[in-house]
This record gives sequence, structure tokens and C-alpha cells, in this order.
Amino acid sequence: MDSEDALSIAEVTAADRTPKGKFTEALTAEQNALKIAENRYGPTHPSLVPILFDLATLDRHLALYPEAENNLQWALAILQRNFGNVDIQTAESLSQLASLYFDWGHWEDAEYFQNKAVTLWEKAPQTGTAPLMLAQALGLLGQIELELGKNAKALSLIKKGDGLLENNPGIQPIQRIQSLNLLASAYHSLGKFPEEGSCLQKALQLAKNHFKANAVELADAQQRLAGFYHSQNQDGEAKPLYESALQIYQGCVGSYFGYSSLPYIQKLATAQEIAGQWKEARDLLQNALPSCEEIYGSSHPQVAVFLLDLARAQKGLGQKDAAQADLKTALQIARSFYRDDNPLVIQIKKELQH
Amino acid sequence: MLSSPRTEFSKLIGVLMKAFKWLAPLFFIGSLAHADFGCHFILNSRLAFSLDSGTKKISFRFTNRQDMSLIGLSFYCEKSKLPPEYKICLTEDEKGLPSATPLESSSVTPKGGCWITVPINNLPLQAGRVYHIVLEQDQTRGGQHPVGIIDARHFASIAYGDTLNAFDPRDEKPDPKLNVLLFEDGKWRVLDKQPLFALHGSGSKFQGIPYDSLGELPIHGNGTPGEPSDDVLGGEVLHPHSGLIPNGFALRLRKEGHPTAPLKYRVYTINFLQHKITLAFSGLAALPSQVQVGYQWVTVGIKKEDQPQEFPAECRFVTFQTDSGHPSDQAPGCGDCYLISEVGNSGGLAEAADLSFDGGAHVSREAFSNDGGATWLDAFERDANVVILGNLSAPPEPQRPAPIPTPAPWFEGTTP
Repeated sequence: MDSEDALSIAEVTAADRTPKGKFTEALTAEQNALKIAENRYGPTHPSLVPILFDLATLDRHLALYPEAENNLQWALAILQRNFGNVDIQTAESLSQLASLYFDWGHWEDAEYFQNKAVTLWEKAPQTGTAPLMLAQALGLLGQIELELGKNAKALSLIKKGDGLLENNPGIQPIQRIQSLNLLASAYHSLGKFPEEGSCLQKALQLAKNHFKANAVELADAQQRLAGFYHSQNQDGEAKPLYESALQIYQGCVGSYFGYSSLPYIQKLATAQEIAGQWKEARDLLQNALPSCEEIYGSSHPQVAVFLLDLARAQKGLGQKDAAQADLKTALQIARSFYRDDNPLVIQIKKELQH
Repeated sequence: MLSSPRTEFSKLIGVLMKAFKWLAPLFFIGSLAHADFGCHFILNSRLAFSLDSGTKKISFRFTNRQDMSLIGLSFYCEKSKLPPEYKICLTEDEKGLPSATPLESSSVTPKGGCWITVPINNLPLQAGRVYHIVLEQDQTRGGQHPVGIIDARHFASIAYGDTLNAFDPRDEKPDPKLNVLLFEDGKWRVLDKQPLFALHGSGSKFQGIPYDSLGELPIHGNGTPGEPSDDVLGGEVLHPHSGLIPNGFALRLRKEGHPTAPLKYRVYTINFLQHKITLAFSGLAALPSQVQVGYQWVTVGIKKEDQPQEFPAECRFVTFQTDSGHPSDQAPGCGDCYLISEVGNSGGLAEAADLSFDGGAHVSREAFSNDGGATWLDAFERDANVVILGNLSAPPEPQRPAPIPTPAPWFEGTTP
């Protein structure tokens, strides 16, 4: 078979398997694509870069952070070698690395690379997709600064990014909603609660205007705003939003527990726990956990998150021993991937103490 | 930040760049470009280690590149004098040294001055693993007591190259583990020299270093400066794997005697169906004063007025010509001329052409002409040290699927 065909087949196979949650198969196919491309073009050819990006993404799905790092560093080196250190083409590569380090909880490394990416995006002519790329880059840098506790700087960056999105008529509503959520987090970190609430209300309004009444995007916006009201002891405002979100989430989950349903299962379980429906949440998570383990492997951060949610439900039912056991397993898994300052590790430890 | 094979590849290019001679401002010199294609393998002399004692061993260390079932091993025996039987073993690597336990072995009484190939019994080798080919006297030949005489009058010597080129010649992919080790006085030592060996796997799989022979490609005017039709030209047919926009060449060059005319480069295209060779573009390469008597890597810039053309992913003859010089019966075969270093396989090794630069016949290989470039002769197992320097041309946009979306965060740090 001509290597060009073999390369296309390998890439298409990877793209096909990923949305089905068959990450290991997708990874094997993408690794094969890389070998073919490397033999065809050589190890430093720019054609390898999109393949390396996809490989790194698949590594991230499987929480193979060191492997993802390796692939993204290789991609960055190829781009810098071929186009130089200050070419805009390296900006995406820098951002990908920053995003990886952010997920991995290596905040300082994330900050280093994302600063470079933002610098390049700011210098680029602001035409075409450049403003959107800059907005996204500022958003990610803002999130990183929040994790580093540089809250004022985070707010400034996220505001700037949100401003670019607000003025851009071509963006998707969900992008603006995500930006508003981020802005709300930044205001929260600085104790500016009225501004936080305002952002979440805007996000909810956008969701109502652009999504159907039973859309999960609307439920997410309701859930966030309800959470804010609850934090401000305004449970009267929170309750109807929680109930509406719960109803929408229930409509998203049936008896299928495959890969595509897992995010909805998580959202529903959380909503059930908020509503005090501990048994329903526990049963749902227990039914979904084997599927989660099959897709990701038994030692994966997603499994740790499921166990954390399950433990909350078990606690709600007074099953303290089972909850403790699940939390200990979750902590062991989370610690095998993350540092102790990672939000997931912190949250699990907090649950273990109560 | 790169994993070590890729870092070593970049380092190799960096070292070669430092070895390049800076030419006078006669030429446009672009900064050394982001891509190069050509044979960088250097062999100045072939050395040998005499296994003239039962306590001596030699090992060739390498990284195996592909899964294969090994069915044969080859090495070059430099000299043999009433030799005993030798054992050739394939072992795994233990902290850089051969393991004491062979995976598989074979025995041979080698003949000197040629490649020796021994059969191996279908040994599976794994891609990415480091192995050793170890040669030593087979002292017992399967028995219980030592047999065979080994001393200064009964021995064989095993060849290796003087310059370590730590890469696979086919695609110059770095192999930082490649090396020669000698066992003497009870211990191994690493020589930092070039192993010469070949692995033969079932299903036409192979790997190795076939370059046991060094040579010089003479470039001269055949003693008739005004008559170009009998000029002796030489160079390399290069077949880049993707488009290259050339801005120069690098070649390992020296002069013999006192050439008076400059060295010029010529790039030819070939239409095989019509048997037609066409000069694509040419230009000045070097002045006599700019070429040394000893070999050095020289960078030649391509000027705009040379009207360079892009190198597609096809064969192009990158050759060199001069009006100067004459043939000679004595080495190096010409006087008052230029010479390009070249390497090759002397023969007797199966698949040697496939193991050489760019692999296989009819792709990159050495070429020369005795009639001013009208006709050309190829040497599939030989490669001249000629490199195209340039920038990669934009590859044709492949129809690839959309990028795989990055995963959403598994945990957002919020509690109900």
C-alpha cells in the first residue's frame, strides 16, 4: 500500500475511535500514523506536527501526561526548527503544552509556555481567527494565574479575553458562556461577589437565548448560578434553578453507560446529590463505574472523580466505611498522577477528613 | 527538551555545521537551512582488531530499529592467518556492555579481506532494544576442552571504521548507542569507532553499516581545458523524500596538486523514458584558493543568477565539474584536480545497496561521467559526501481528519 494511503487510514482510524471512547485503539493507530509520516518525511518535518498534537491529545485522554509532554515538545521543536522561535505557528504548540501542564497541575510550567503563546498572539495581525485565538489564550493564562493565586492578574487577563469575544460576532455562544464562567471565577477569587453573580446571570441569559429548553448547556448555566446563590445563602433563588437543572440532566441519561454518556451521568449524579437524592446518585454512579473503568482503565483520574462523587453519595446514605474505602482508592489514584496541591487531591483529602 | 534520539539528530547537524568551511564573499551564503538531504557518512580509514588471543573479544553495539526474526549476521574480516574458529554471538545490552549470556550464536572460520555472513536460528529481535554482536574465539567448539590454536600466527582481525557516525546510514536516524567495544585485559572499553556489520532478518528486513570501503571521486578536465566533452564529472544522485527549495550544497572536498580552474556545480534532471539527461541549473562552487589539500566539509551557496530550481521528491544528479586537471595512473587518479570523498561497500555483502544511504538501488547513489555529462554511470553501493541544503517546500496538503478535540476537565474543583 502506498504510504500516503496507509497514513490516511491510520489517521482516520484514530479519529473514528476517539469519540467512541476507544482511546487505546486510537492511540495505536495514531502511533502508527506517526511512524509512517516519520519514515516518509523524516523526523523533523512539519507534517508530523498535527499527528503529534493528536497523539498528545490521546495521551491526555488516557492521563499519560509524560508521553503527551514528550510529543508536544517534539512538535514544538519541529516548528521552532523549521520556522523559528517567534513565528506565529509555534503559538498553538506553546498553548497545547501550557494546556497539558495546566491539566497536569504543573502551574508554573503552564504559565511559562502560555505567556510565550500570548505574546506571539498579541503580536500577530488581529485579522481572521487571530482575535479568537488571542481571547482563548488569555483565558487559559487567566485560569493558570488563578491556580497560582495571582487573582488580580487573572481577572485582568480574563476580562481582556472576554472583551475580545464580546466584540467578535462570529464566536459560538458556548465560547462566550465559558468566558463569562471564567470571569465569574476570577471575581469570586477576589471576593467580588456581585460581579460574580452578574457574570453568571449573563451566562444563563445567553444559554436561554441560544439553546433549547432541555439543553445541557442551559442546565449547566442554571447549576452554576444556583451554586452561586447557595454560596450567598440565597437558597430561595438557588432551589428552582437546581430543580430545573436536575430535570434536564435526568432527560440526558438513560440506560446507556458508554463513553459518550459519562459526562451526563456525572452531572446528573452531582445534581441528585445537591437535591439529597443520595440513593439515586449512588446507584447511578455504581452502575456507571465499571464502564468508566473499562474505558479509561481502573487507575485513571476520571475513575478517581467517580469514586469521589460515589463516596459523597455513600456518606449521604450513612455508608461511612464504604465511602472511606472509595475515597482512599480515589486518593491513591489521584496522587499517582498529581501533586498534592492539585484540586482533585485536595478535595478528596477534604472529604476523607469529614 | 526533546527525547534523546531527536536531540542527537539535531546535535549531529550542529556538529557538521561547525565543520563547514566559510567561503569568500564571492558567493551568496544563506544561513544553513532548515533541511538537508545527502550522505554525511565519513570513513577516513578502515581499522581492525586482531583476535589473536582467547581472552580478546570485539563487540558491535547498536539499537535495533524494527521487530525482526534474525536469520543472519555479517561482519568484515580484515585479515586472517591460519585462523581458529570464532564464535559470533548476539547478546542483549547490560548497562552499555554485552550480556554474558548470548541469545544466539554461530561459528565460522573466517577468510580475510571480505564480508563474512553466518546463519542465525530465527532469533526474534525487538524494535528499540540495544544489542551487541560479539566476536571471540570459539575455544571449545561445543566440546569440553579448548581446541584450536590462536596466537600471532593464527588469528583473524575484525574491521571497523575510524570515525563514529552514530546513525543508520539509510535515513541518518541517530543511534546514540552505536559503537565498537573491545575486551582486553579482562575488561571492556568503548572505542567510539564505527562498527561495520549487517543484520539479516526474514521477510527482507535488514539493518547495518555496509560502508567498509573509502574512496575519492576525481573531478578534472581530462587534460583538455578547452574541451568539455571529455571532462570527468562526479557527484551523487539524490532523491529527496519531499520537495526541497535549495539554497546551497555541502560537500566533503579537497584538491590534489594545483588546479587552476574553479570547481563548478551542475544539477541534472533525468527523463528515464526518453533516456534524456538535461542540465537544470549550474553555478560556481569553489575557487582553487578556497579548497584545501585535506578533506573538509565545504558549503556552496547557490546564487539567484544560477536560477535554481526546486528539488522535487525525485532523482536529481548533483554533480561537480572543472576544466582543470588531468588523469593519473597514481592515486588518487588525477592531478591538479578536485576530489570528493565517498564511501561504499566493497562487495560480498547481500543487500549492501539497501543498507546504504537512502537504501535500495535507483534512489540516492553515487554517479560519475567520463564524457562531460553526456552519459552517467551509477554505483548503487557507493555514496559521495554531497548534501543538498535548503528549506522544505510546503508539502501537499494531505486530506487529514479534523484535529482530535482535547478532553474536557475531569474535575473542576467545585463542590455542591
